[in-house]
Amino acid sequence: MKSKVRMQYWCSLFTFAIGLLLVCGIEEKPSTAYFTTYASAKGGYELQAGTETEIEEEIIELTKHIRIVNTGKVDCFVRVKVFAGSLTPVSYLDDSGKWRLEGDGYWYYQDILASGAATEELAATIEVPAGMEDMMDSFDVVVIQECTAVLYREDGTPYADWERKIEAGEGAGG
Amino acid sequence: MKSSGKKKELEKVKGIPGRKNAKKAGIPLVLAIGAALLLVFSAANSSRAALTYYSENYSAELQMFDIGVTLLENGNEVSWRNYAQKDDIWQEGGGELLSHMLEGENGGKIQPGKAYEEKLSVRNSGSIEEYVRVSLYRYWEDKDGNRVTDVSPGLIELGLTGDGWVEDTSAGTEERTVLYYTGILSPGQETPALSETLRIEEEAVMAEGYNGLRFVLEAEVNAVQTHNAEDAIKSAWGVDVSVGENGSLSLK
Repeated sequence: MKSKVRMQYWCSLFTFAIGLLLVCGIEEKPSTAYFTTYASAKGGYELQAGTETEIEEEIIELTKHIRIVNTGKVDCFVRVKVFAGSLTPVSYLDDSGKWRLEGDGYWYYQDILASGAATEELAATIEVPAGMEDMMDSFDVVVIQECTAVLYREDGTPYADWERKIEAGEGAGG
Repeated sequence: MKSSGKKKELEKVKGIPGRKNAKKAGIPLVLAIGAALLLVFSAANSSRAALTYYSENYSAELQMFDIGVTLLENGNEVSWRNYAQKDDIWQEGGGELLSHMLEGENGGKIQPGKAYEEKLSVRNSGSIEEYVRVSLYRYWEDKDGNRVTDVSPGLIELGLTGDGWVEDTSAGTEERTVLYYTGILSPGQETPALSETLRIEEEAVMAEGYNGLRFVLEAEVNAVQTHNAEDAIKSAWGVDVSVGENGSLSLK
């Protein structure tokens, strides 16, 4: 009899506890699922980097005919400087009008040089001093050419930053 | 003494409980009644909603609560995901970011240093109010689509506006930027643009090592309900936020 009463007691206590848990559980957290969603997208482009140029030059008598070819994949600006001895002044001929001599002694090509394109010709002629005509083969004319990638301002205006130039090569002869 | 002995004898013989035993026997009864009442009340909670729903006129106005979000680029829809009002079906779709970036551009090449228009914003394309956040990723990939980690994502410069958006600097890395729109986004409403321009730093085209690399911009929008927002955001995004009286969101 005593054990039956004890059994009833624990059963009721258990049922009461379950009921309490149910009520509390339902009241405390009405919902743990929330409305959410998402959306995503991506995109991009391949970049061509690094500039490379080569000199194409032809020597006819005392004149060096200079062209620069853009052999890289990036558009660039180019400039050249011609060195000859102090005894031999150099004169220039630019039929295209696209080369411009600046105060630093460089000839700047005004157009953007696209990948695979070549500049118009710049002709550099040395003047042999009087009395040295028999030494014509011994005069050297050195051409330094430099290129830099075309950069753009925020509004899209192109410009060259010669502080970031690439010295791609040089040519000698004369 | 004698009569007491007789009483005990009587209990033993007839099985009649005394006052003390009667008290003990009453406890389970009280507990059982209590438990039954609790169960009835717990059931009543859920049935209360049903009673309200099925009003005595047997008519109810149904309003569907559908969440939806759309990512916009320069005013054009790029990606969206909206709940379709039934059977857990979502309307989703979209395209690529930056697909119109080089339209009309010289040779279809990126011009390093130029600030391209890149206005990213978000529209609420659902029918409930929501909070939104956007995670932006900038990185480089090689020709095989593998992520390149030794080239700085900083070379991909996204000009942020800060107009209505707040950056979670604790969640940010060089590659990732996480922005929260601080207001409630109502159905059909658009946020102000979070970004204005995209620019590739000049340095990226100066080094031969970058040749052939692909820069990538990725944007992911998350939206969550405004009801019970703090808990919802904590649960959905794992972030602690505070919601002001006017509904404005701030990071804790």
